[in-house]
Amino acid sequence: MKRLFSKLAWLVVALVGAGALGAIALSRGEPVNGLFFVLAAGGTYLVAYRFYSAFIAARVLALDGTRATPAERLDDGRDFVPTNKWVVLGHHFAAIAGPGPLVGPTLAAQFGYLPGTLWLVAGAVLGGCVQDFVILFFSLRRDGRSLGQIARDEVGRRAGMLTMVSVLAIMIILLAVVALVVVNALKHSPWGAFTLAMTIPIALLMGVYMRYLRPGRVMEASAIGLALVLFAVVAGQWVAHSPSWAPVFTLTGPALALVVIVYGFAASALPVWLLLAPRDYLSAFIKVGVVLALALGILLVRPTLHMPPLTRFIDGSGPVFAGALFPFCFITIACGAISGFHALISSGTTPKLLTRESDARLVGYGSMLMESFVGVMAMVAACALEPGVYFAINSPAGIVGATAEEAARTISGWGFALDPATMDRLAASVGEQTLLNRTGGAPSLAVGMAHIFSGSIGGERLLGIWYHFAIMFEALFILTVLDAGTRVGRFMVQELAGRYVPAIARTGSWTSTLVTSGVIVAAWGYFLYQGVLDPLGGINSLWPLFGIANQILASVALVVATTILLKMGRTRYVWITLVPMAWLVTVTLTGASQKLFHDDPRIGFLSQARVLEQRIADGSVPEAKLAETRHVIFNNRLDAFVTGFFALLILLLLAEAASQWYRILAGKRSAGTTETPYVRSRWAEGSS
Amino acid sequence: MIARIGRALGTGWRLLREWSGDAAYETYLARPHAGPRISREAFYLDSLQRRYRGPSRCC
Repeated sequence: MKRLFSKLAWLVVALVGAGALGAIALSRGEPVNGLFFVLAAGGTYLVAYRFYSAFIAARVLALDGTRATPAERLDDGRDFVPTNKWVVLGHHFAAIAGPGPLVGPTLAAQFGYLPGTLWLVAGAVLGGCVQDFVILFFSLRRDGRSLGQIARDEVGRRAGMLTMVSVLAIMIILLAVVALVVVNALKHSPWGAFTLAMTIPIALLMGVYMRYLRPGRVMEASAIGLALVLFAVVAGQWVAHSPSWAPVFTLTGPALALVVIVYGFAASALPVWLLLAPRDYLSAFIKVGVVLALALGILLVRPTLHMPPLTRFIDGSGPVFAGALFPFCFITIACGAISGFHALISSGTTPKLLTRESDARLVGYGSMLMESFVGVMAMVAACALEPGVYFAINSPAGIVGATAEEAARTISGWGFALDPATMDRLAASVGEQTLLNRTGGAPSLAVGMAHIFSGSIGGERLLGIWYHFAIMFEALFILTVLDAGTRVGRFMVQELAGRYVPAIARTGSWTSTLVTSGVIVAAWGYFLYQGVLDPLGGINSLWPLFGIANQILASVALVVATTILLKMGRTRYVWITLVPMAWLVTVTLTGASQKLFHDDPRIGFLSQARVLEQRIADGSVPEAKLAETRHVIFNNRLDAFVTGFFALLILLLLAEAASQWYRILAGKRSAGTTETPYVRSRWAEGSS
Repeated sequence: MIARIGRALGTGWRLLREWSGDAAYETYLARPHAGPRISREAFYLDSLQRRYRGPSRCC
């Protein structure tokens, strides 16, 4: 009877999910309610978790609850600590959920709500969750080793080196693009810039509190920090209206970029307890709180989506970024569907905390489902805006014009009605001078979130506060990624360069710290500055580059996972990693080749460089713009080089792995893995 | 009923402290350990150094 009830319950969940998916996929002409997205995603996630992840856990990986995990065997109370599975789930989710699942879906909304939503859901359950789960499992069985170490041990030394180089390269592009999102969100916004600037002294105060006054009291310091940050959000409007203070915090894009670069250097070089750690604690609390509040807000407000399921921009002519639905939708949305960076977290702290091997399913597969849901909520928030408003915010001035009248004319010409007065009213209602040409995704997402939040609490009266709260939330955890990423990048440079110059490897040396911090900040700072000066808004070139890089890292992780499955003798189940890997390799190589060689200068880097060179040769570039145009040409060639480098990385790794696979399948190579021997867990009683 | 709610809140608070790192030093002290224990301050600084050496925050 109980079994029958369970089957019926799962049938209902599956039917609700399928029905909601059908409703959003087949809707034509009439607006769809955001609640359908919650039901479609929720139903699919539940079914995928219950059945697909259980299949992987039982048949493919054969999780063994009686096997002692590294946290148990190597328990030192520091790195290796057996931890409650719900706490590990929270840790892992807070670590993997960054700005990507919010910004990517917002940008991809230019194709309409349908392609991005389907990719978020299908990509996660079949690709992203599988990647996170299997890498976590493989790391668990190898004393919590990192992806790079596993690649070296299981695929080969070259694979290990390729993985390390690709991680460093991806880090540089990632930091540049997230910094660009912050710059675009805060330029000419005294309210936003003041609020974010205030988070620095607040973090310093928290740092001193946790270091000297009450060592390690994270909750107390975070509560103080949270109260001060909320006060800063409210105080931002007084600054914005102050004739003497507003100009101080009204910064242009290039000026703000320089501020962010200097800040990144300081965050990397300063002691970790002073700025990075307190900001991270604050960011983690706000992140989890806002994600829960957004979910609740969508359920309460049930926003109607005004964006059509598909727009005319699936042909590649989109104003937000150029490129056709295939492959660019699947590159633009990386985090939220599948993100290679997660493999670094799954083989980082998480495997050192899990008490039971069987918990890897909940933590690895489950937390990626949660991140995917964040992506779906971002899609709902973006598509709840009137499409005309969405395109006015997210399109660069070079395409829609720099005034409300020009933008309204251009966007209305695309079939999305926009009254110029609407943009002025909207900007005034959120306390901004303008919302036009605020590329990067963060401002339009903040407008969408502010509408959802103000629909639950405060109404139109609090729209400005909610908008700046959302901007602060996005910018706060983007800066956390920037701080932590720059620091990790610095360690990687110290490790790589230290092989040739041993003095650089000394992490305690101030000279080494300053030099390597400078190297890593200069690398991402260059791409950031290039993006700020880009006449097409920067996001057009940098976000696809980041997506390609991130998906290539996911391909690396899936190549490693496929190799280990073959070595484990799970050849008949190898499709669980091979299929998503093949899809990602196809997507990234197609995307990379288009970014390199496409004839459309908005898509192909080399093509744009050629067009600009031709303009200089024709004499159609004014004398005053010559130097800037030459810079843009150089930057396009540099971006082309980076794209080609990423493509080469994955081709080299595939060649290395394919020869391994052939030797394993042909029986020419020992299929032994580097798994640690079985030790029975002391908590094994009652486990299977 | 009230006792059950109290227990649930207590569990939630304990998990929140573990998640945030607030209870890390108490967890460390509770572990069987050879040799002298380090101070709360030293433990906090040491845990931060280890935490931010590798990728700890994703995109």
